[in-house]
Amino acid sequence: MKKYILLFIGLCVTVQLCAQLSGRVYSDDTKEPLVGATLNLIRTEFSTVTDGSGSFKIPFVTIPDTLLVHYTGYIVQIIPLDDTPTDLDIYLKTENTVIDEVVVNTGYQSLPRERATGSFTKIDNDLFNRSVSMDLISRLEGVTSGLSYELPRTLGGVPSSTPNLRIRGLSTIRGETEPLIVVDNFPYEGDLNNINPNDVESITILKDAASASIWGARAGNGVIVITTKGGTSSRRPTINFNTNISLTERPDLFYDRRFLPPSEAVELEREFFSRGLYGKEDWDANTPALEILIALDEGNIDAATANNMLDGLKRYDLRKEAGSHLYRQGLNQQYAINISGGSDNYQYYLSSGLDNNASNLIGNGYERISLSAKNDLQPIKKLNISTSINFIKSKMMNNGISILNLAGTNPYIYMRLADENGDALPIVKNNRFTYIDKALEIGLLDWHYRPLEELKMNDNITKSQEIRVNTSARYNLRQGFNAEVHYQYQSIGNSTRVHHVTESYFTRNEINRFTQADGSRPVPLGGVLDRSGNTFTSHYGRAQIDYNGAWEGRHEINALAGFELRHEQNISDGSSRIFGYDDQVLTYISDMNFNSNFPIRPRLISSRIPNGTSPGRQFVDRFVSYYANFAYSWDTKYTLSGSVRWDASNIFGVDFNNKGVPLWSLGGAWSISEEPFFISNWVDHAKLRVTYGSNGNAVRSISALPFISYGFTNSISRLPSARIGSVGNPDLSWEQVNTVNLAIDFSILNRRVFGSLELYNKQSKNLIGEDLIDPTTGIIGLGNGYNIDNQWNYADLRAHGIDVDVSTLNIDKAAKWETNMLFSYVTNKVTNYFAEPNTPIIRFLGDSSIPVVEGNSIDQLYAIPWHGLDGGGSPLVSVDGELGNDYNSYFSNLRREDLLRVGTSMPPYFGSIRNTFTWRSISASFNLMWKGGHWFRRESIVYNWLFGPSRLTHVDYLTRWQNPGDELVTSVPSMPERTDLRRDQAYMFSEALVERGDHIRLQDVNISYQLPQKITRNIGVSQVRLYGYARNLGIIWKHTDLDIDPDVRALYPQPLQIAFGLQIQL
Amino acid sequence: MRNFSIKIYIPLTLAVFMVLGNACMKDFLDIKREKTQVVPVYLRDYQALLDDGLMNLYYPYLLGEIGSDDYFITEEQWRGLSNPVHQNAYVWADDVYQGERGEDWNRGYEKILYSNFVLEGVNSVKETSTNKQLRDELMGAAHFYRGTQFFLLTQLFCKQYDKATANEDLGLPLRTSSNINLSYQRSTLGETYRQIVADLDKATVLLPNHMSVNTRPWRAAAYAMLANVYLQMGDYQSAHNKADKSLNLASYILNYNDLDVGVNLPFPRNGEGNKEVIFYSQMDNAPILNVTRLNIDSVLYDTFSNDDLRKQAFFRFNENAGINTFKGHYSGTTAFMFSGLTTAEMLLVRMECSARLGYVDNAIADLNLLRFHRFAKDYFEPVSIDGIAENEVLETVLSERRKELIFRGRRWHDLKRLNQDPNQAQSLLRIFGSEVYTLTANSPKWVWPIPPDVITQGNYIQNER
Repeated sequence: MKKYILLFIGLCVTVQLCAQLSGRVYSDDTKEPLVGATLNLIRTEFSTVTDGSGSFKIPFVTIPDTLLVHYTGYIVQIIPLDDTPTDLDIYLKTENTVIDEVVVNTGYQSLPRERATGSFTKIDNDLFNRSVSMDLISRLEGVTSGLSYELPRTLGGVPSSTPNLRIRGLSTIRGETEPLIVVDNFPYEGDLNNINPNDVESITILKDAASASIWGARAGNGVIVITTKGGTSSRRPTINFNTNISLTERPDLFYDRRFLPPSEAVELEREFFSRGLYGKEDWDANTPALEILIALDEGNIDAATANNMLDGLKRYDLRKEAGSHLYRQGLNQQYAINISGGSDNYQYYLSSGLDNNASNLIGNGYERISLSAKNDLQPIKKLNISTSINFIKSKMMNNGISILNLAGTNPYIYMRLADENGDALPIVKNNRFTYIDKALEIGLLDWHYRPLEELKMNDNITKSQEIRVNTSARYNLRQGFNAEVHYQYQSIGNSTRVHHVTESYFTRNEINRFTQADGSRPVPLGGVLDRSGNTFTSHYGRAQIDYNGAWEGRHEINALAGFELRHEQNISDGSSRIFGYDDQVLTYISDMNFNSNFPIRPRLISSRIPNGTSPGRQFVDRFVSYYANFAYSWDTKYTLSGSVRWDASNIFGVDFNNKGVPLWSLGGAWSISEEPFFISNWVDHAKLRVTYGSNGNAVRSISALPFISYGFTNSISRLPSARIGSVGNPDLSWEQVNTVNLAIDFSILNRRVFGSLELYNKQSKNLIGEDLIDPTTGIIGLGNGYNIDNQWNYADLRAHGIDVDVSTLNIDKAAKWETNMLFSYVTNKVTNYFAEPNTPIIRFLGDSSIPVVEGNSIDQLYAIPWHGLDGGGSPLVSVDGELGNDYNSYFSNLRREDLLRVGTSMPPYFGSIRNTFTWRSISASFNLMWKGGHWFRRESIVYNWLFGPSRLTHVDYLTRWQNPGDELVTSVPSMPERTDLRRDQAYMFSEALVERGDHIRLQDVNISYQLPQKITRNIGVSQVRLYGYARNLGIIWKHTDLDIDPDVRALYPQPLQIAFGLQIQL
Repeated sequence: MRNFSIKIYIPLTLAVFMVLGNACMKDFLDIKREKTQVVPVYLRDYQALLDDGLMNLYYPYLLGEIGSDDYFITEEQWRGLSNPVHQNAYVWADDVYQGERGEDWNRGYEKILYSNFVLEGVNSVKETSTNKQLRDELMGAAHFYRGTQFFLLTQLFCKQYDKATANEDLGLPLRTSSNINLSYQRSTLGETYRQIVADLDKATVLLPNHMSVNTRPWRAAAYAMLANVYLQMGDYQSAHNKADKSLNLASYILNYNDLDVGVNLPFPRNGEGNKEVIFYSQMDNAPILNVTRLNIDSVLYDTFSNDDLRKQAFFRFNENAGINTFKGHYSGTTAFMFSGLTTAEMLLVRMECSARLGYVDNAIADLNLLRFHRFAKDYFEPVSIDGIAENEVLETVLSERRKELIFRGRRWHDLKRLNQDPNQAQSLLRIFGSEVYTLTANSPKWVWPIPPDVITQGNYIQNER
């Protein structure tokens, strides 16, 4: 301070003109004084803040100078001081996010959108916080153009919540399709759920070559850059508190169409019985209905009793039972608090967060604690040292019993879980009740499975702990030149512990199965404890030098160059199991006999005791990269940018590491509206951008060296063994994605309408694909029990598309109405691939691993033609031009050319429309999302499965062909006397079961209310916001008439979620 | 000033980066990605490869076993099969594969790749006095596996060996290198057999005299395999000689009186402790050969005398189907069929060769030795040389072989060689209602076609059909 005063005195002496300046800072909106606004004098580098009444005082002002006034959430005001001012009343305008200067972060540098040539999408803090969620990625859905967000199909399973993200479609065939995620300048390899969304400042999505190529061999699928919050030099600490509670409805178990109503299901079992489809050994598990029919058949009960008993079963519905005993309303709670502040040479940000989720499956839950501390220090002028520490601890309880865990994957629908008093009932699981009931008599343990008792005993917990430490130093070498070094250490540990207590069915079943005729127990009494875990550690280092300069007022250069080392290690501990475990005193039985074969009940076939132990695996990935990047602007009209990056890795082959060519990009931008010849009344701004360049995609599953894999065990000799994994591929390289991007950014009608239009073409080459090799070489390809890799870099793929992003400010008065529209189109085509000519035709009609065909999209959906049902209810197929029922010859003569190319299973068109209404301090927004142009294959009744071991039913069974004439109204085949998979396939693979996937859904609604400052000031806080949010609100329109959500191929759709929250800023 | 900065800083920085980078890059990147992935260097790496289950599993017998007459399945069972290759093979259809892969070919050549990979690798390890024993054993095992696989594939994909035409008949592509860029066309059948004999001869020299575990080949196994090869070639003198050598090293015959033949699976799992097993291997499991479908023809069943313990040990009456089914797996599980080598098989080879070469006494002695171990203790009556006509000896011996080696993968081989003798030749039939499929003794269909993907990729000459 002394230094400054001396400096000022000196200046006053030399410049003569000096004065004292005072005044107040107000909000232009509310006309209220602003407390803690920062004032800076540019020339003299003096700064101060306003006091409790919004007043400030600057002791010495030398004229001329410029005064900058900052306040968070308001636009910086610049006031030139040319003559001696007196009292200044300064009114700050609120920051309008729409016209804010956008700064995009590539993970290597931050640059203003104006000077970027590449394609970026920036999700700012407001937009990011519009959604309420525990995780981060789900907040990108529907607000990012070109990002397709698909939840994987789980085919009747519990719906997944981890999406498959594709940025601008596919750029690989066999490689990883997920974009690279960067958190605070370095790739993030952990679980994204470990990032507390409350710590996130903004997200930038890098979509084209020019923006992403700085990430080189990992950027082929696009890059998502996450920037976390940091401290400010506002002096006054800001405390932010945010909490929300979200409720998740019970899942709709009646959604899945595979279940028949209980009355029909019971009747159908008569058919099973008459076909002899029931277990005949005295231990075979049969459903209760079959047991009744068997008893009737054996004369143990009479027909009237049997019918009564069967009718009794029809009263129960597992979906209702499970709905009340296994599922509940989910409740997620989130609390986050952060403090930030600092001074001119020290800034800090401290935060902590607590999440506690109770899933809608009873027994499942998730807890997370996150702590982070970020410090920026300027110990001497020109040097900035920055450190941050993040610590996350989480715990996942996995004790729930889903409807699918009950008995196989296809429980009988009239199953009862509890009796009238709510006491747990046993269900039929592995063995017949009459067999199990004898267990106690013959010295075995109780052998019944009672789901509700198990629910209380389950003890399955996964814990995770992550530490991430970042350190960096940046030094200003001389004007415009800066050098910086970064280092990040990350360590993640996960461990899972599953304790099957002695009383659990799992343990009782293992003990009983192995109990010998003489009563000896090779599997001892006591619990079974399974443990497994893995650890990930990484060290990243980077050294970089950059230059930012401008001269003659017209030229501006930003350039940087650097190199980077990355080391990542992933150790999986494998798993271990101990028997006879006592959780109280931590003892277990060590002298287990895992080597002998024992006859096991009920069949007395011989088996070893499964020892549940595996050795684990260990991976190391290392990268060395050199990179450089420059941008030159002339007169703010023209910008030229370029980048180059070279990567070497232990993944790539020796030859490639030595000879590899760098990845590069070039781009140009032209602000056409700045040209003197461009005269328009209605266009405010127009800019053209063109980029071209290449990114890579490292395929980590393939090896460059010949190698053998240890970790096998000869099933006969039990000797440890190894297999050949690869005969070697010294030319292995990254996959290369070359992208052209053409774009126009525009703003018209006084910024009432603005946005961008982008066209791109991605040419992926050098892709990994299976080679066709003569099997006589011994290399048959992966899968089906073969282990030797036959994949090389050779295939090509092309994807092209359009991204349109338009925002309009429809009403801009006291009430505001804003609309954001996103539209994306993307399609892909395989341009070079060695398709296996002998691929069985059935594989094209399957649900997964559909063969890749040159000339078609990777997402191609195929079907066979549908000719309806014949007079007997059998599907018609065309053999030699004649319609008939010869399914065997139809399928054996079916050629790839005969298949209908229905369309793609991924939507080529998708987008969203978000309307935001603001009136005073209330704001509400609705996001409508739509997808179109894609197809899906729905399930239906497959008699071969119905009468097979899975007994898989489907409601379409009810609308099957039953009487002559039905063929005119139904396409569901009749129930055949003898099942014939080919007959079923003539229906299930036909176009009769493919449906358009087009639909529009109300994705979410957000309403928020900010308390007026009058009130907040009275209670001593600067901001209070209340908000509500609802998600998964359902489909508004869909193309298909069936009651199917095209996005949901699971047991139930994601249930409605409603959240309420409160945010307070001090 | 600005120019100065650019001139100095940029080259300086680049120089620093280059020095830092190149010095450490090679060491930094020279690391295996996955720890269990090993670039093989040591003998123990090659031993681990040969110890893998792949070398004992998936022996290429399926087409032969499916196509032979140890069993039959009903039309309904046949229609219910999901694998068209199995369906077609059962009726010896013209198009066996219908575009599908050929597992026998693939599994056989996969083991040949392993053998070549090991032979090349072990060759590059310098021999020392301390590693000689292990080095020899590994080389011997690789030769054993390669010779064995060539032999088994020959039985499926080549004509029956005939000395007169062996140098014109088509053999196998004799792939003796792991280099996938080398191409091998089909050799003659004579060359193929010379390769098989050469490989197994080397194995008999290099392999150790004792068995460590039943999944590793040893000298007795190599002699036994060689005996089988010579028998198939019709060289009875050599076959006798090799079987004899094998029996000198391993002669224990399991006495079925010591077993509980009534149980579901009378033999121990994986041949564990079954000292009759010289070398353990098993076939791939195919649904068509599942226990529920292994219906035994009553004529074959009736050839087993009631005093023969094999009748109880091998068969179980399936009450649902009303027919006998097979349970006598030396694998100790109904899931897999044992296809390995046993001392009993060597006795059979030796007795057949003795019978064919005219040493009738020796043949009868071996026959009685085997029967003694197979018949119920109190009911065993030795076959007397006087009670049997000389020309019936061979038939008795062959009938004994048929009974002992049921579902061991030997039947297809035997049918092929016996078809050369007009007295022994027979046609096979499959009857589905009115539809009858026949495989006549002289049909070209005794040679299975090479899978279509192999023909397309390797441009081999296809077998006639």
